[in-house]
Amino acid sequence: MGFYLGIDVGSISTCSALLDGCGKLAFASWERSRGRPIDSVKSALKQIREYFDGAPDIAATGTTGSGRELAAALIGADVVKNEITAHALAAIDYMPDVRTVLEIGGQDSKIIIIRDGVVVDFAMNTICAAGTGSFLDHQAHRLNVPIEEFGSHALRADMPLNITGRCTVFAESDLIHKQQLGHSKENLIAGLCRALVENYLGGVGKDKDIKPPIIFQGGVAANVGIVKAFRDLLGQEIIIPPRFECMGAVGAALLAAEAGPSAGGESAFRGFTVSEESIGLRSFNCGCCTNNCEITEVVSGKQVLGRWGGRCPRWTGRPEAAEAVRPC
Amino acid sequence: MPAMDRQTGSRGGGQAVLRVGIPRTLHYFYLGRRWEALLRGLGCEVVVSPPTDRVVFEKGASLSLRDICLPVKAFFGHVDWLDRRCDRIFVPRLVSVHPSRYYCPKFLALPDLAAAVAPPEKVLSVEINAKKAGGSAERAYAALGRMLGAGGDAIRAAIAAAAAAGSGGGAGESARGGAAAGSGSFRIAVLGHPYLTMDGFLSSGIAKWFSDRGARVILYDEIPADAASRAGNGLFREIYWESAFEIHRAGAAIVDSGLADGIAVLSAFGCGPDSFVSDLTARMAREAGLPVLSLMLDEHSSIVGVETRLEAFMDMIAMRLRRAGK
Repeated sequence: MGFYLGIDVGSISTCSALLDGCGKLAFASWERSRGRPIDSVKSALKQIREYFDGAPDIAATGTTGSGRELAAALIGADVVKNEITAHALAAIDYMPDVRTVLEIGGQDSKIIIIRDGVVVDFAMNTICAAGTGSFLDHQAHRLNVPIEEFGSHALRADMPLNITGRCTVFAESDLIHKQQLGHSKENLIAGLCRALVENYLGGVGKDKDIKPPIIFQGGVAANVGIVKAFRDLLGQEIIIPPRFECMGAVGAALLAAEAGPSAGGESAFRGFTVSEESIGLRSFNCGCCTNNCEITEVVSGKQVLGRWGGRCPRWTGRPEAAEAVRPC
Repeated sequence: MPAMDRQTGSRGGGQAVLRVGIPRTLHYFYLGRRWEALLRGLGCEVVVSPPTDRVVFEKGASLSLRDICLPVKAFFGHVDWLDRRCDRIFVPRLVSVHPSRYYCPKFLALPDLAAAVAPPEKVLSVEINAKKAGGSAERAYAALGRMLGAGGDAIRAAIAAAAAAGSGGGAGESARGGAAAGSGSFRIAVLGHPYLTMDGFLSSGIAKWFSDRGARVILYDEIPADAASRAGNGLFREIYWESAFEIHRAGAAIVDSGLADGIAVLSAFGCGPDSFVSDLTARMAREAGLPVLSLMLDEHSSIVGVETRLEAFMDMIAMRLRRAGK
């Protein structure tokens, strides 16, 4: 019996998870995408092969995250799902009676409300990336604190400062202002964590019925300062799963296990050799109608692995030879 | 080139038939059918601009202020398209159709806005203002008939034809935001101004996206106009913007009638009334336990950006229905 492989390609990081036939997590990886999602997916496959000292047998695959289409084309996915559903399923699998999932990743944040194991409401940040991982990264860099130690600085604060959390641009100028007044890093960071959690609760968390048990997942759950701010503001225990940073990938693997192989008992998985392929991305404007959609395609050698970006289905599901004459 | 709705009428005296354009945007989605029938009845040839596409929209955006709302940008594009093909462009000034409600101030200015894009003498306009004595639509239509030189009988017949034509605008999928009519495994109401929800381009094809994935999409025109209205209940006063009132009324009708398994509320970036009426509507549905998705549309919406939410919303409805054993 093979493993179920889930891959979550986010804006900042790429995660993988392998579940065994019983649904137990056998392997998980996390790394920064560094703006190169193709390389990071290849690297994830390589890590799996190294860990197992050979290619494990894969029963079905699933991809999620903002780069899910790309990842699906790359590895050959049996199921492609949005990250909200993936995160919800992973949380429910970890704790069946969970009622609230807080998820903060590199560039987006979500809240998922669950009742009796069913998603009943959710929200995701739209334009504003306040309080997400990349903003914290940026502030940590500015304060010259390694991101890994950022949260523990907050815990050492004796007087957390009031910092505006409405908008990250204002939060930053407020932070600089208070820094110039001579406040300690610890108090600045604690204030910032609190401001970002307030921003989250007033933004994606607005009008949401937040009830315990509350699970916090996504890369930012590593930040103990943010965790403490959530605990203080919600007055509830915050539960952090052991592989909180890979929950999206776990959800994708669960979806793969549920859906099974896509084509007649055969997984669409293209194999671990994908990590050695030379894979390129290119885009062109369709030009068939006035919408002139920008179509993106992933190419391995002469083979088109996938295409997307059109308003109509003209270009989807046509992975023929890359050099073939294009329609119309 | 999308098909144009056109039909040739005839005017007495062997004169050349006046070709009148109607922009396929804004009021068209409420009153387009009436206006087409009216103008034809008055002896005009009617040209309706094609459904909004990138070229029309971008032209409109280039002609407008950067901060004006999304649908008005599209309106400019439609007027420009018609200007190059018609003798006159029909842009009535809709101030009010109900004594206690107004249209949005930008709508009040539409004939003036049109005159900024097309030659002012080309803009054919009458004022409909239920707040004024003699400001009814019928009076306005009669005035239009006289303006076009039609006789009393012809005017009465044209007004009757307009009344018989019914509300709404356009036909087929292009008038449903690209969504197919017919059945589906579950029902999603797409709420918002009809000029957003029924315009496949401005709504980023959201209605079509749902219907392509097996949902039965319910749009504004399928919500009974006489459905018990509790819009405004619990508010400190009745909503006084006409189209915002209608959105809230439609939301209440869906919540009360169980017409849909979920509601997607679309709002336009830069729309003042939307900023709180969408929220009120979403809150009303959420309180009733109906799955809700709120989406704000802007110029840069590509379906890719919203797909995550659309998909999660459909998953949420499917999970619920499965749990409920439907």
